[in-house]
Amino acid sequence: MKKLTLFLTVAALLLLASCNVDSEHGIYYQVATSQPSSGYNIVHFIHNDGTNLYFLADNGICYTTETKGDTKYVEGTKDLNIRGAYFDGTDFLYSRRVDNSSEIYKLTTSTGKSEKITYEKDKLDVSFNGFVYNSNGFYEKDGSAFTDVSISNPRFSRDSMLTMDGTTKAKIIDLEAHTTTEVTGLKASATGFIEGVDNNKYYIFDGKNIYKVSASCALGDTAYYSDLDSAPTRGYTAVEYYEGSKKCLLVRTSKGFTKIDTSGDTGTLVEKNVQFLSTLNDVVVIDMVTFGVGKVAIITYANGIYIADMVEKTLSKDIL
Amino acid sequence: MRKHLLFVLLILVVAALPAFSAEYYYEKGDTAFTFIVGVDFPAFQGFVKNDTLGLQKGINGTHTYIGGYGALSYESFVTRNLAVGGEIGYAFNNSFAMKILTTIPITAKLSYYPVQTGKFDLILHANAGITVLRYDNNRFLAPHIKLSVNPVYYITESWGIGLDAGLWANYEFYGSSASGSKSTESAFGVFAPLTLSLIYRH
Repeated sequence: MKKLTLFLTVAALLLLASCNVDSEHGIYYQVATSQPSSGYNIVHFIHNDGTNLYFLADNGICYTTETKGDTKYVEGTKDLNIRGAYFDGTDFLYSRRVDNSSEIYKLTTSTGKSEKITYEKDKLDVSFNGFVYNSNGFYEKDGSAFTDVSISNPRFSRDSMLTMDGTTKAKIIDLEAHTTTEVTGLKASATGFIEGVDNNKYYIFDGKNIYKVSASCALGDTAYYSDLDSAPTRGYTAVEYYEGSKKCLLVRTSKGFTKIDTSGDTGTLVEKNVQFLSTLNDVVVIDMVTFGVGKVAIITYANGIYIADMVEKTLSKDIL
Repeated sequence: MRKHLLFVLLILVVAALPAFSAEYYYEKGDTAFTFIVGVDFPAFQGFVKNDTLGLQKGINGTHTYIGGYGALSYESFVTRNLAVGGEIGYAFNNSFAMKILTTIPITAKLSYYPVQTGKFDLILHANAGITVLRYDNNRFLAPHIKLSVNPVYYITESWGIGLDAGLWANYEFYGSSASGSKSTESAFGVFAPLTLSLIYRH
């Protein structure tokens, strides 16, 4: 009887001990890298004017400097159920849900007044770069309709959109040039899309591969970089920035942050699981944008915004 | 935290004073049930193979808030000043992400009674065993030790109330074959419980 009890106890303990085998990180590691809530749940990044970072939170449009406690709501945008917003440097365009529908407004910042804008289509959303879209097409900034494309799983860069057409076909739509470029050669659905520091140079993420394309060419067989860790649930988030004359790509993966040198014809790994950013390994990253020379603003869903000095290898505390 | 450690040291010094350790009150075979409840201060987290995290101290270092600790124990005296038994406990602390880190230690317990006057006991406890660590749907079975000092005043012949202060530690170990990057995430966690103890002796 004693042997049976001992056996059952050991078996139960081994079963309990095996429960953490498949988790991504150790328990104390997760605790030590946990971050407090900032009080703002960020829906998407909107604009960086060099002084302020603008972002859409789930209860209004906000802006902040690098100084902690400096975050403010843009007047007239709080608690409106805003789902998407664009800032042209002077005024805002935003979409809000009203009675299971969507309405588009233009906010003139000089007066603080919002004016409803009527479009022919309904259930429209506004992206951070000014697209007004639904699944059947989109409107350009001047309000004219662009309807020869279906919008599926859209991903936005500064002035473009990547939309999937089937599983492995995609289109890059250039908002400024009004061009549509078909992208072929994807091996799987795109899991990320950003515009590089050079205009009209894009990075498309496909599984563990990164492709570098321009608006006028399709993917080749050879990936620009092909050894990424798997994508986070939301897909890859990335930013390209300069470290002196060197161009680098910082990519958020499911395990942390990967830094790739993009100065050459192919991407070369600089550091996998960038150590000085490891305290953010367990937070949800919404977006990353350049923030001064050699600096990147890391925008998280619930844990605030952090400034990473990629040259000095320092990370600020949450600036919100 | 410094006051906490000073208190522990003071008690140890008092325990060493020969004037307090004159008579034996207990007999071999006497037993004691103890109920413990109180708060649990985060002390250290040490990441042995991770230079970035390294040794983290206190609330801001460990990203863990002050939590609670409770336990039940049973002991039997094997000599007139030494008792052995077992203890099961439960500790919880919120992380900065407001997710609860819990630990359920199941330990063997050794208690030394250097001072026993019948009205007042000073007890030194040493526990060793295993604990189930839980956080965000992850579990880990870790070795666990606890050291504490426990002055107790007896209100009646059988019932006493005391203050129990000490440190407990466990070690989350991942070998080099662990999946992902966990091999660099082996860590020990150290907490400082400060609790009230209610003792029934028989």
